[in-house]
Amino acid sequence: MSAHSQILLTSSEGTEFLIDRDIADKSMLLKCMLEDIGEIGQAVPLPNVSGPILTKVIEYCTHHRDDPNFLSANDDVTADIDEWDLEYCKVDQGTLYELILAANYLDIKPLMDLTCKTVANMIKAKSPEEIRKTFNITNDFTPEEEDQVRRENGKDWVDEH
Amino acid sequence: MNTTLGMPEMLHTIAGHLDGPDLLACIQVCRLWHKIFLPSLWHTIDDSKYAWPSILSLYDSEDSLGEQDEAWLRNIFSKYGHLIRHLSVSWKILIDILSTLPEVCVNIQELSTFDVCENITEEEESEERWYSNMVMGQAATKYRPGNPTAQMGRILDPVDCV
Repeated sequence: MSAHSQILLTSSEGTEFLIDRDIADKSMLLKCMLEDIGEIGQAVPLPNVSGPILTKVIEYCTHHRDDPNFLSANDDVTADIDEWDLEYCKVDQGTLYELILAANYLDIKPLMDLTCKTVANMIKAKSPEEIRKTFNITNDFTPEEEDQVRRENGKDWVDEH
Repeated sequence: MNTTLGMPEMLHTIAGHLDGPDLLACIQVCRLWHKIFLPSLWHTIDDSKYAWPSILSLYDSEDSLGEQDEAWLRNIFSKYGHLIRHLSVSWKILIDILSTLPEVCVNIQELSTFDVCENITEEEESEERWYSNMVMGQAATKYRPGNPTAQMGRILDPVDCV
């Protein structure tokens, strides 16, 4: 198998993307599939990933293609996000969620960690109500449940942050 | 809710990037978030961090609600103790309460206890910490005789701790 071989992917709209094998291998889904069935010379359909999102995913994998620590890149939860990754994640919330879905589906752990870390940063130092507003979440606690959650945590831990 | 934000895999990964106070806010957002973030909130409990010292110091203060405060602690540890994997205790009141709840913290993987002594020198303190800060499994046997925290072993059933 040549290291320079290329793989054809098809996005949900049917747009074709020709990428190098080592880029495709960043996705555990594609890597395992290509190892199992070999290169079949046909396009691999990705019905769950749209063209614009696939473009973004390929951009990420291409930027990190020679990264020796790719798989453990975002393991350190306390480490800051590097500058390129930070810029990369400056997208609207909808795109960010679609990237998370794509990273999850294609099984690209560093991209999953990066995008989830970005969402985590949007949660930090916010009150429950501010979090609901940020993510457009409906409070579905009954008043009794909400009271109970609050009572159990009544001694406000946030004080000593 | 945006469907992605309801995806458990994603919320679990996000939880790994948050600590105490933020996790506490998350469990109050909605039912789903409560369910998913609660184990992360209780995964690691260190009573020297966040608001624990101010909660636990209540017992030494004139503002103490006495039994009412103790009941609150007993209640939350009875309810969520099984979620604790890493426990670090230094407050005597918490040690006292936990040792009366022997079947609660059954999933602990790592336990650190610090002796609660008055007028302890810094040198003694660091020595105490060195002795006390050990991985569960050794905890029950390695405490020095006469050590007031030796009864901590009762919190845990070693059979359940691998």
